[in-house]
Amino acid sequence: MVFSTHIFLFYFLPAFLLVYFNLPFRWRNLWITVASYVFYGWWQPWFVGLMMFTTVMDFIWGRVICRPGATPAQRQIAVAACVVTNLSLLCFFKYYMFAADTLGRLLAAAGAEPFQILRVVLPIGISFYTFHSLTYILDLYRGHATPARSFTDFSAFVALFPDLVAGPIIRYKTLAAQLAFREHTVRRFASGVTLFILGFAKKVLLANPCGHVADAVFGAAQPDALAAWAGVLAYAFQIYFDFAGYSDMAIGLGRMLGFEFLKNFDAPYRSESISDLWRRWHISLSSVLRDYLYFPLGGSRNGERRTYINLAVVMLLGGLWHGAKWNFVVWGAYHGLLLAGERWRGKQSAYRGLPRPLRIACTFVLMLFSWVLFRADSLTAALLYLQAMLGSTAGPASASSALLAADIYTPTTLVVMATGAALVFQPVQAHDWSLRPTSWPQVFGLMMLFVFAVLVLFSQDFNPFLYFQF
Amino acid sequence: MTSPRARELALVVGFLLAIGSVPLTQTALEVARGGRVLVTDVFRTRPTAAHLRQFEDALEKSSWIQQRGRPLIQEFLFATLRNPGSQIVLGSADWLFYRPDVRYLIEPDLPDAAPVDSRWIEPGAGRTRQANVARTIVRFRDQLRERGIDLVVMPVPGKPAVYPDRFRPRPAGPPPALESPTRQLLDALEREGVPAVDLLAMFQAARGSGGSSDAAPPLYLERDTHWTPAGARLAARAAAQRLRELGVAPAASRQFQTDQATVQRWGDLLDLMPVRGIRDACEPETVVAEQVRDADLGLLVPSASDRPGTCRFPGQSATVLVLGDSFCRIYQYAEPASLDARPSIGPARAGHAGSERGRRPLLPGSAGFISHLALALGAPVDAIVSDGGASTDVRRRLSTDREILEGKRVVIWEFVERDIARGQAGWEDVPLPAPLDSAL
Repeated sequence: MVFSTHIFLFYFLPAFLLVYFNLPFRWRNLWITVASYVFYGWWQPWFVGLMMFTTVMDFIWGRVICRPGATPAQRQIAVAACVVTNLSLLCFFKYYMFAADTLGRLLAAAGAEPFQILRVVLPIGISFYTFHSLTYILDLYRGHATPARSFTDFSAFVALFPDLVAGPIIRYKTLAAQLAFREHTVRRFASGVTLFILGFAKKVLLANPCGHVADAVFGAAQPDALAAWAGVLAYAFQIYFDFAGYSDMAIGLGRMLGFEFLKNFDAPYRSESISDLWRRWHISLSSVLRDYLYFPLGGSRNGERRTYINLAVVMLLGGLWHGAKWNFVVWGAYHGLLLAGERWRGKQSAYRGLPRPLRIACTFVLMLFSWVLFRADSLTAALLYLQAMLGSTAGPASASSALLAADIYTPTTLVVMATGAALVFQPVQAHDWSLRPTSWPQVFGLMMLFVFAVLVLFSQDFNPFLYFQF
Repeated sequence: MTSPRARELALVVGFLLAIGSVPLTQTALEVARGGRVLVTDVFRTRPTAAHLRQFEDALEKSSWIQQRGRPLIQEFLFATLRNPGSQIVLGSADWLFYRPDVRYLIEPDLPDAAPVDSRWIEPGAGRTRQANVARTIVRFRDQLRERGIDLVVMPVPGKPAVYPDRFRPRPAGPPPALESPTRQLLDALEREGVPAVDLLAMFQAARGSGGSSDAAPPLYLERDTHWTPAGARLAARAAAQRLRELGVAPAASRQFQTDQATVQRWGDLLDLMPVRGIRDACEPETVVAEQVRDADLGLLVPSASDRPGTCRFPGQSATVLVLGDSFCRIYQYAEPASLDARPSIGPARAGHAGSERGRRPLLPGSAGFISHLALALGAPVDAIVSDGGASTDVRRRLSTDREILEGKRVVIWEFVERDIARGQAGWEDVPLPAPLDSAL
């Protein structure tokens, strides 16, 4: 199920809240689990079976790890078995086809018969809930968390529908106490409503129209330089408003249920360097990669060369986490290279001497180039697109350029892109704003915004969330 | 009511009312109408992914708030931002274009091997590779050849291909040349020995022949996806000429007369614009068509005995069969249906067809491509037409008609070029009907 749909807004959410707030507290986690399974199974009911399997398995492994009298070796075996099982499932569903296709191409290049590839459907959100489970196991092993007090609590944590399919990635230790007890107050619910409405508006009013422009330009055979820049700018806004909007909705729904999740975005396009960017973009993933991969690899403790290698490994795997495509690998390598370069310069960007607006602009342009790798259908397509951005494919004005221009340069595009630019480059973020006391004009404005966004949603044909595929 | 708590409470209550009132009102309306409560359908079928999608779609379509809210917001967006909806691209001087027509010309063909990708949304989903289209056409040619019938394909260029200069921002200078992807298909077919009618070159030449693009008679309607009667006539003459070049044209055997008739159309693209009352703000486009009348049989329109979508020339076995889409239907029978709803064709009827269309004069019939092909050949022509279904559906209809291929010498297969990439039901192989003299 998708937050920005009729079925979720007008049937699932009211029914869920009605039951939730009429249950005694001890039953609420169970209701969260049941409802989350319905939410998740709405795409494909058998996905639920897979999630239940990993939930049961990880719960048992957690008990084994924390069993009184368990030796360090037993604990190590248990955590290794759990990590291997989880990652094996993730790798099979996410990377099997990529690996088999690459092998098939290599074999074909060597003159061998290509083999038939088994088509594997990727269960939505598997990367997210696998990471949820893994943080539980690894925190237990490190002694940073205590075992879930009941299977109901743990299954509610893994399946919690607000953050189930596209994050933010919530660690068990963040939610453990809240699963046992959480306050349901009007203030918290209202701040959740505020954040949900703002996220919903970002998605419907900004991300979807920007996506229309990005799809048209990235789908075009020969965009001219101006259209190519417009397309990648539109994609930069689309992916930000789409993902940040989803995160806002997820955090807002969490607040309605009494949970408090951590902020996932912090004005990332106002970053002054790539290192700064990764402290502001998809914060929950960055921190998981830092705490569970970069630090265990040694972080920056083992000399400069090792630090660069660690950075590269983390960013490559971060890229691959997004999907089984060479684009994502190169995207990760690109960011790894930029981060290593900044570290080499003493954690400073190459343009640190420029005034702040220019530092922000430089970082944004570097980000735009990386979004080309992220969005293009293949590496070849990405290279062609980058050439178009640099004007190297420029020829005489072609009719297809005129057609593309007519498709994308419209008053709607202009208004949406200008609004998007004004919002991404200003400092106040929805997450912080939603925690402030509201005034009557704000209450009225929020309700109007919600009604307007719902009406606009009715006029849109298709609005998938980009991060569902990761 | 000025404390923070009061404001928070108001926000919470307002939000809950907004999301809760919709299903309650919907249920109340359904109960009041005496129908079943649609939301309960979710418990009536097995919860498979397909059933859940159907249920969700049905729920959205029947939603009163969506039905009432959608026109309101679309009118607002059009009034404030000139946003014509997801299907339309606005051109200059009130010209409207169909977005899939535009996208077809912009997007490249799918790559040789689509990237292996286990993503939820597959890139290129719903599109067909041009090589697969060529393969299907060649196989259809081979099927017909086994029966001693020739095939001639006739991709119809979309309006943007012929009028790329009618977009905003309008490029300076002369109309820019367009590299249509259809050219690659025609080249591939030529290599395979499948003859084609190159209408794009013909139309571009016709526009140029007027000295300037504005001097030539318009070949497409301004607010419609289809050609004008002049475009249909030109295409018919080009097709007849091609048949003669190939030596498969029938000998002239019929006498036809033509009468001029005025046709008014608001345009199917105007119908696709989700703005209520938009027709009130527009004048219909008036074009002059030429009705073709057989000296003995009258207008060439389907008879009551013809199958839906089929038009047999009365009383005589035609040697030419046209398979086509709404480009064959326009001016020939009742006008093409809206692009959203594609009912099967039937004979043109006098009078008005419903209150919505009460203002729209019905078209005269027998003034479209098929009649003008018959006129240009001086010979009868049979046709099977499927609005929007020329890629596969029209051959499915052919496969169920055992009689229509009898005595045929050539089949002209017309399809609009956007269907090359996004034809309804793709480009499936469909068997020919068994010959009449064979056992079923």
